[in-house]
Amino acid sequence: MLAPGTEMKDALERRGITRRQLVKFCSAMLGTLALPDRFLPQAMAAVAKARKPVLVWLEFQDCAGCSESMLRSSHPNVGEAVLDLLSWEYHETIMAGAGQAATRTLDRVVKEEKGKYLVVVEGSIPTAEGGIHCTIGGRAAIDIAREVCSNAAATIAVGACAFDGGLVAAKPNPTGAVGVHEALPGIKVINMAGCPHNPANTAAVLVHYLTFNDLPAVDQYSRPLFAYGRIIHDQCERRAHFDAGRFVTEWGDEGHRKGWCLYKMGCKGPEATFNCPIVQWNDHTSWPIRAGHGCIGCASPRFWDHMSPFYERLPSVPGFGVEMTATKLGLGLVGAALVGVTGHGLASTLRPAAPPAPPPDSVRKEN
Amino acid sequence: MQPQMKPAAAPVPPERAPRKLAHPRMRIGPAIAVYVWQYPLRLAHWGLVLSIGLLAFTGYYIHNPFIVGQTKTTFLMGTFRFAHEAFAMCFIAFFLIRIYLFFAGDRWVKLSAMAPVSRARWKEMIEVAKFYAFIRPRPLSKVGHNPLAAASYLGIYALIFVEIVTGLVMFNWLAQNPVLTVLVGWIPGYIDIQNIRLIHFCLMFVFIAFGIVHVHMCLIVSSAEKRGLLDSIFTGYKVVPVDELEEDDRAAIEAARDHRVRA
Amino acid sequence: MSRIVVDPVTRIEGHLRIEAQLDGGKLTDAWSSGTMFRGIEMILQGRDPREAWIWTQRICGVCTTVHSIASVRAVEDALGIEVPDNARIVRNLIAGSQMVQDHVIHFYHLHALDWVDVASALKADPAKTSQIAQSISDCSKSSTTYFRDVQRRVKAVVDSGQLSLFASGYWGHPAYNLPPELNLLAVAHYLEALEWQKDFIRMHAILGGKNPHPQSFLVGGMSTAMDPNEPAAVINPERIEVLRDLARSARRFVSDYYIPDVLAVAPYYKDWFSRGEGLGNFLSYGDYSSGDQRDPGTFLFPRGVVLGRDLTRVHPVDPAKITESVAHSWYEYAGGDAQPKHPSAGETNPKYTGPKPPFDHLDVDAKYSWLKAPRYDGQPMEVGPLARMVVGYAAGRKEIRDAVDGALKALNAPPSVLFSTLGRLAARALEAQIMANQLEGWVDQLAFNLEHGNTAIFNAARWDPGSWPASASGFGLHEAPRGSLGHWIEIDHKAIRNYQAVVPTTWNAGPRDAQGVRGAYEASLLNTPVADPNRPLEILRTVHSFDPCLACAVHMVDARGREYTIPRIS
Ligand code: HEM
Ligand code: HEM
Ligand code: SF4
Repeated sequence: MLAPGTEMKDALERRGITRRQLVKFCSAMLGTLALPDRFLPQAMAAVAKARKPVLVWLEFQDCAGCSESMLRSSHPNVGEAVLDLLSWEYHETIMAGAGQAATRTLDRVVKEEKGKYLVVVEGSIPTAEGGIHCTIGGRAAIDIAREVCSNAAATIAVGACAFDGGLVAAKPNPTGAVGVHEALPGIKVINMAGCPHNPANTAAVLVHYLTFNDLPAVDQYSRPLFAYGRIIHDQCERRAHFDAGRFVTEWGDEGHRKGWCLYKMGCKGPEATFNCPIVQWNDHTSWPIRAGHGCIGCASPRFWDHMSPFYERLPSVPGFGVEMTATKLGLGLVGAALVGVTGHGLASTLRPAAPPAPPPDSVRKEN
Repeated sequence: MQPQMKPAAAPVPPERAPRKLAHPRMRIGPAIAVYVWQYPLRLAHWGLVLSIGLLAFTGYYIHNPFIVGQTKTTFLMGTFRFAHEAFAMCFIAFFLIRIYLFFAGDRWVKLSAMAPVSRARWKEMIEVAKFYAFIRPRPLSKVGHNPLAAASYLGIYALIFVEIVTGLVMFNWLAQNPVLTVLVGWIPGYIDIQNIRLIHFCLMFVFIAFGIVHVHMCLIVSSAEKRGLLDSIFTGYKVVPVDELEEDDRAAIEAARDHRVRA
Repeated sequence: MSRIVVDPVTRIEGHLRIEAQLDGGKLTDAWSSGTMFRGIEMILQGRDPREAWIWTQRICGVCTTVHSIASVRAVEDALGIEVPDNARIVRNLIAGSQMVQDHVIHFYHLHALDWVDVASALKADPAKTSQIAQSISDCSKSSTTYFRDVQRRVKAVVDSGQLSLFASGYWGHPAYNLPPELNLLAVAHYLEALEWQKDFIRMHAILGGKNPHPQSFLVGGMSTAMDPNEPAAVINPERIEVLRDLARSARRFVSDYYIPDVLAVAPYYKDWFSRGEGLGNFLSYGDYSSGDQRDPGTFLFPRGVVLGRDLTRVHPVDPAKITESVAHSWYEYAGGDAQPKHPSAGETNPKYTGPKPPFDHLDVDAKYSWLKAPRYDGQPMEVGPLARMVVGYAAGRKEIRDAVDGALKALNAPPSVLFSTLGRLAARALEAQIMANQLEGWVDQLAFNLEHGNTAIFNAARWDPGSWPASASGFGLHEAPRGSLGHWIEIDHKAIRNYQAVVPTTWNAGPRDAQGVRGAYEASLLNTPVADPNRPLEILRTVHSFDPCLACAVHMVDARGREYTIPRIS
């Protein structure tokens, strides 16, 4: 059943890939997607299709970190993704053409591949002052996004910025930055949140799309469940230490050297949902908690505002500045109650004796 | 539930009452013991008080694990979290009992008796406040809660509800229970999980501060009105001068079948 | 006379627009414009200084880590924190590996396509390519079969009619000079480098959890706890071995691929040794200490300024001489835009006055960029690998002199060729080599400390904000792959009051100042011949030689008041 028919063999040969490479690659993808092996033939057939689907990668208010992250993809590696799997026709950070040659390519894809191509968006889209905070080829980001995304088969928003504005939209959001789904309500978008996105997940979504011609199941933020359905804390290698109550209490202390839990150092693993501990980064080499630093919850909605301060357990209380922690505020409240009660109690001992009670009738009235 | 009111068959013997009840110049009259807090209410009250204490302790440990385990066999955080969740379930049960009493409890603990809905009650609340502010010499005595206390209790129940909801959101964040997901799963979409935690944590201090002020108020009022307010949350009975009973209180007492003398 | 617009400039980081005037086949004028603004300065205000590095790291994802390093150094300077030796080494390793990897990516994936005609590779004879490969390098992947496979893969892509990233290239442009065999070699190494870079940068994963945006910096040290006997420690003997392997792989890659390829390609483009010379003024803060980070004498790349291509004198760096002009930038200065300001007294009041999008041309006589125009002593400066090599060469640093002289000898050219488009390219390669050779030494130091019980990685004295003064200010300097980077911070009541970054690409890509003096890009484009105005490949060659990074460059902050001083070199 796994043997590809002659048709596929031809297709593969045309594309210069061996069957072994293809099997390896497709199995890895199915693994990330948590799909059983029986989908392998389907995935392979899709991947080996004669005509590769076209992909364009748009960058707006970004740092190119998500592009770089894609370059670190290992299954498929970028070479495979770019040459064998898809026709990656527009991507400012790495494409050959520039200027008009580049914009013409984009125009051509929108026209000729209408409704069939995939768009990846990286970076937030500014909406203040008519979009003047990001222009490309003299056009505002929002115009480009509207035209390119609304004509696409699907949009993949990679990174925190394209997801919900990310850092650029953190308070006070000077440029009115928003994510794709807020900028373009109603378009079909899947959010690969994270700062940056994990290329293993994005690659898996691409393969899912190629295989089933549809996007995988998503959560309430349109993030794929296979990657964002579980909290980090539940998958963390330090979890046993958490349960045992063994915590790092100071950077570089004994617990830190022994790999104890980073909860007391502000780790946001208990809040953050992501498959970071499972797929890890850079060819499964490590991930931030393995490197001794707490999680910052980078795949969570509006994480810059919600998960910071990153070294505290809880956010600072709104309206009180970074110095005021919830504990200080709460202890202040309890202290004030104690002081108030003591004062009131002392004052009450000095309370003059009550005058004789009035006759019953007047009590009624007084009440 | 039938309002259970236990009128005194005989007035309190005058020779005993003055020492116990009154200011030297206070009018001495017959008083009866009224069964104001039926036992489910007292159960709920003490259940809540106890579980708040345990939840605050375990919750604070969850927030800031002040004991760091040393050996591989300790299961400190796991235990504290389990305890917190177990106490939380009790807490919810006591809360539900109290909610039931809002609708089916005695006349003094019903929602309708406590909510500051009428103009008269607002006026009375001001009178109560005046007592605390040393403007009014004598507390405003009521058979049930005084209106200010009643309103603050409703406030604290609302906050308890918020605490439970935020707790359940966090619980479901880990447990991913389908029922809870339908009930509270949508909330983090509007209030981020970190802010949920923050609310949950800050309310803990509100409860503690409330407890302090509340006990103080009860002491002050109890000693000023000398009607056994403080005892009542243990025994259920308050001593009320007969002529202070409102018309309908009297009617209720007449109607009650079980007559038992209390002094 | 015609106006050429290149927007977007691709194969760079960020959003850059070049407008240029073409007259008689040569560029007579040029304007460089950054077209994206995020306002990270406003976002940082009021936040915890200890996490500023996490935020500023996101200024750029290509030169990821550089802003983290500058940021933690700025806060450490403000609070008077000294970091343990191990933290310095780990930071050097992270920054150094970043530099090597970034230079490799720049050469093969961002810059190469300006010199290499992918389409021509199809015409190559793989056997001949193999011969060339074996003659220039000891690299084992050089068989005829290997190159034939690569050629077949490229052919499959071309035959499919779906050219992917290469769809929009200027293939067949007359300015491509390489023979088909070298083009094939370069395409093969394009793919090799793509594989290598992702493997090598696992160094960041080990020391920082991930790349891009590694997550292991701390104000006061690093989170990479060390223990010789702990399997779960971030740095232990097992991890040291992986680091050592990776450091060696960097050295191998640079000496087997990068350097030979640059030396093989350069002779075909000799005229580019005299084009794109640019300003001739170079600035380097210096970095990569072998001991005390505060002593520039210990730096691998020294600190200094070289003016007017004069390699006989290195001037000390005096930061009081740094100013920034907004005469042609979309900002307003309260005291009038004509007067430049010292960064510590600078203002950032964004005020867009450019045309309403969509537009065809910027009004280059007025304001035309989101970048400010930094000046040193009133003069524009070039920063980056070339500046570091020039300053190091002029200062007589042995490693740098040896590397540069060796390359000049191989190319049979005088030092003056350094001041050119190809000079930048070569300087970058040499720098990568110096750095790649250095990495293993740092790994050894780390291993030595680990074996000898020195596992200190963090200085906890000032971690608790309760131990801070009511207000403090400081700065942190770093030599990022693209040049000299400085962060300035002001802390007030445990929160960031002001944050400012003066970034390499702002120096290089900035617009004109109030006197109309051009920035580095603008100056370097002058007199460049352009064969085909519709395919301005020549513009890209020079602009790319600077390795632009626009997300970094768009100015950051609103700092008021304080004077900062950088220790001078004597
Ligand atoms: C008066 C009642 C309660 C108090 C004072 C209290 C207090 C706390 C505190 C201080 C925390 C730590 C917050 C932090 O992460 O910093 C916490 C966590 C939590 N509480 Fe409560 N809590 C109460 C009731 C409840 C209830 C009714 C539930 C319902 C299920 C609940 C469930 C939780 C859960 C699930 C956590 C998170 C545990 C974890 O992160 O592992 N709590 N609570
Ligand atoms: C955190 C701790 C506490 C909380 C949250 C709390 C809450 C409440 C609430 C909600 C009520 C109203 C009962 C109802 O009608 O539902 C109440 C009544 C009462 N509680 Fe507490 N309580 C606390 C601790 C205590 C303690 C320690 C005592 C005793 C020393 C006490 C004595 C009373 C008394 C005497 C009443 C009746 C007061 C009245 O009628 O106004 N409470 N409490
Ligand atoms: S390190 Fe973070 S994610 Fe891991 S167990 Fe501890 S708190 Fe949870």
